[in-house]
Amino acid sequence: MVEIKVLTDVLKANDAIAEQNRKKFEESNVAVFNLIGSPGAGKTSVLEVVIERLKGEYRIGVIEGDIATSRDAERIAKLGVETLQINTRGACHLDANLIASALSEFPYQDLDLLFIENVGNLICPAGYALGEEAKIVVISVPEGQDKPAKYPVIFRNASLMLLNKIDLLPYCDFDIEAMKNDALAVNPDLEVTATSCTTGEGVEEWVTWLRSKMQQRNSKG
Amino acid sequence: MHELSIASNLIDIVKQATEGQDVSRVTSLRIVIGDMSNVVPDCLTFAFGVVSKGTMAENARLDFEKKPLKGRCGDCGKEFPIREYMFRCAECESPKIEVISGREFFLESIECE
Repeated sequence: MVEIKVLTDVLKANDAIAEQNRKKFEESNVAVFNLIGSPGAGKTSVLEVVIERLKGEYRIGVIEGDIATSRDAERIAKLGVETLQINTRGACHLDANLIASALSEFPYQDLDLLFIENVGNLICPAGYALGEEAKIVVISVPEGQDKPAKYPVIFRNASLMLLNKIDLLPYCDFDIEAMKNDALAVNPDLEVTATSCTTGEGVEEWVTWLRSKMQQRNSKG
Repeated sequence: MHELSIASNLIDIVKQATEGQDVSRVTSLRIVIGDMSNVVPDCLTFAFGVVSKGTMAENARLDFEKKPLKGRCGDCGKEFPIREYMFRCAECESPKIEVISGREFFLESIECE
């Protein structure tokens, strides 16, 4: 019997590739946001509303991650921005290597702002860095207010929580303040914005959040 | 599905670690796993059984050493267990908490024959 000391982080291979992606994004000065949320939370919808408002200001691209179909990419492509669909064929998350391969056929160098829409899932994508500047967790009112308490890791790792479908609040037993408190207990630095892509309520705040992130980057040089 | 890709990572790491060593079979893997690593030991054991078939780690046992979630307060310096994912100091209630344990997920060692 021989014991071999290994002491290797199991996700190290992913993290190393994520770091290479991050360097590429930095060299091209492109801001990258990784959107994570449950299936049906409205990840594509929150992208549509913000792209419509910001595509005149920034050169925007979107990488869409789904298990199958190119439906989300087709929706985004209608807005006239660079779009690429990744199909994971069953995998529950995007990993850094999938993004690295996608970058070889995607003109990210020509962008100011790149959104990566992850596979709909609150658990697995939280553990896989892609090389992004920040994670945005998208959550919707009908899912219930207990998501931060039940899925703490993604809320701990995210910079922004986008609470979507607030037009449905009158029909749901949902306490926004209680949800915010749960989310802030897990991550006191988490910023929170509430939106409805149907009525447009809160969309301006979501746009403002992104614009301020872009301005912070530019002022850093 | 998450555990399946992690199990493949484990096989890759085992292959690298045993390369050039005089071993024919891996009998067990010792894995350190934090409470906040989002990895479920039972699922990983099942997935590992599937992906290790035909490799030198086939039938290897996975032993898990669990690490509890612990924090250190950025204001008063107290170290304390984080319960129910409440990131607030047990002493002074400060929300400035650095996680000092519980996010680990690494392969510590393997036993081979």
